Amino acid sequence: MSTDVDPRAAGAGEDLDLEELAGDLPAEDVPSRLTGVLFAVLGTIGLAAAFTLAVDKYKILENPSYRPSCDLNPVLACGSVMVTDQASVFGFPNPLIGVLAFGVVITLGVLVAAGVRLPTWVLAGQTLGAAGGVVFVHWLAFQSLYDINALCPWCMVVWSVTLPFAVWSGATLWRRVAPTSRAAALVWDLRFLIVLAWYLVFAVAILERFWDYWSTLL
Amino acid sequence: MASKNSREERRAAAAAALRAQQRREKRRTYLIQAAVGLVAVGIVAAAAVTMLNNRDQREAAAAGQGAAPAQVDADGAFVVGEDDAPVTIQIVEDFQCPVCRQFEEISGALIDSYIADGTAQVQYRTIAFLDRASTTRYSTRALNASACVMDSGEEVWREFHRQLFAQQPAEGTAGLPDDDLVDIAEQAGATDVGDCIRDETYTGWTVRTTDAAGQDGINATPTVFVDGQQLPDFAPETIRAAVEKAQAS
Repeated sequence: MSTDVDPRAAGAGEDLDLEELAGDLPAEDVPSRLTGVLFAVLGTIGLAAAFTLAVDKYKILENPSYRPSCDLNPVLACGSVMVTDQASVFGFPNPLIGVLAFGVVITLGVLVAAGVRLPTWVLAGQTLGAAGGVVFVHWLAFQSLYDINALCPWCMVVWSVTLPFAVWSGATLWRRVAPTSRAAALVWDLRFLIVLAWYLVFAVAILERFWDYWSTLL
Repeated sequence: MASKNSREERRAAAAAALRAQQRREKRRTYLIQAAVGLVAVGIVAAAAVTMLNNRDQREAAAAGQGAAPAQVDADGAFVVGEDDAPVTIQIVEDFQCPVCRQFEEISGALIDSYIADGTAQVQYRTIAFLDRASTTRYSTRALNASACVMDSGEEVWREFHRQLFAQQPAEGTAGLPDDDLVDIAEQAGATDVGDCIRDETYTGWTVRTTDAAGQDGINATPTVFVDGQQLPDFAPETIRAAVEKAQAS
């Protein structure tokens, strides 16, 4: 309502302590319900990408000449990426991990969005899983760029959702365990820029690696 | 009672105002971040594109220098066979191209027979556009080596060419090191090619001849022309039919 009122003026005449008043405000849920919605959305996008990759993998196995939906040109190609050793690094196709993991991400996101206050240890588990995802995504991206020499569009969708999910998870967990930490608050405030900087590193690496190809499109 | 109520009201009003202030601060933080983010994207994109364009220009400048091998024709092709052969076949290949290896396996003998019986003169227009398929620019190094071997004569070059396709490295690997290229060349009968291969004497020319092929509209290998007519595929039957047609005309 009164958006431009100085809180001191609103409480004029009283020796109101603003710090104390702030402490009286209902504590913000960590993670907030909005963050839960974000988790569910990121998880859904990731699941769609992983599921498509998994289905395409079956189709390639059934029919080796099958051209996956994302085989666009020599640089943007799933087919040539999916048949590599790196695409089944644990002995089974990587997208199966995504189908499992993003299902969990969606479930946790929906719970948080519904207002459930997850125990700290669940948030810690979620962050641990997200960190594992980040490590895996970097390894895959490195292999894709410098060893396989092709980019798989659906894989890049998975990379793109894993990074913000990990940043949001980590920052949320930190704020939960250290509510008064200024560093935690700062990381939370800067979360968009952190993800953006991370995206930029990927984008520049992709631009540099496939410049011969991109420059023919200009 | 009244004073307590009004105290509660004032407290509530102050709390609401505090929340509003917090919301304003949050909005300000996000606006600043959006601005910083936009500027950062702009700067990084501009810097990256500028640097990559500069790199292209340096490479183009380097390509302008460097001698071409003496034995190639105007298309940059190594010409094999009789000058008065009635049919001319041009074969555009890349030493890193797996389909070119298949082509050599399937149709190489037929091409050789046309050279041997004087039916056709063959222009081997080798280009290097698959450097991305190896971690060590194998495509370019192999083409440079091929240019080095041209000095040793037709028979040696043809054997080297055959061996390079027979020993073609898989895509995505490091390819054959320069020392192996020297060994293959010497086994084929080449002499004095070690420095030329290791120093990449003809790398500038490899870029020029590859660009020229691109400008001629060649965007895939192998591409086969019989008397200037591009063949739809490179099965032996197709080549034989085209050569017979060319002979008849």
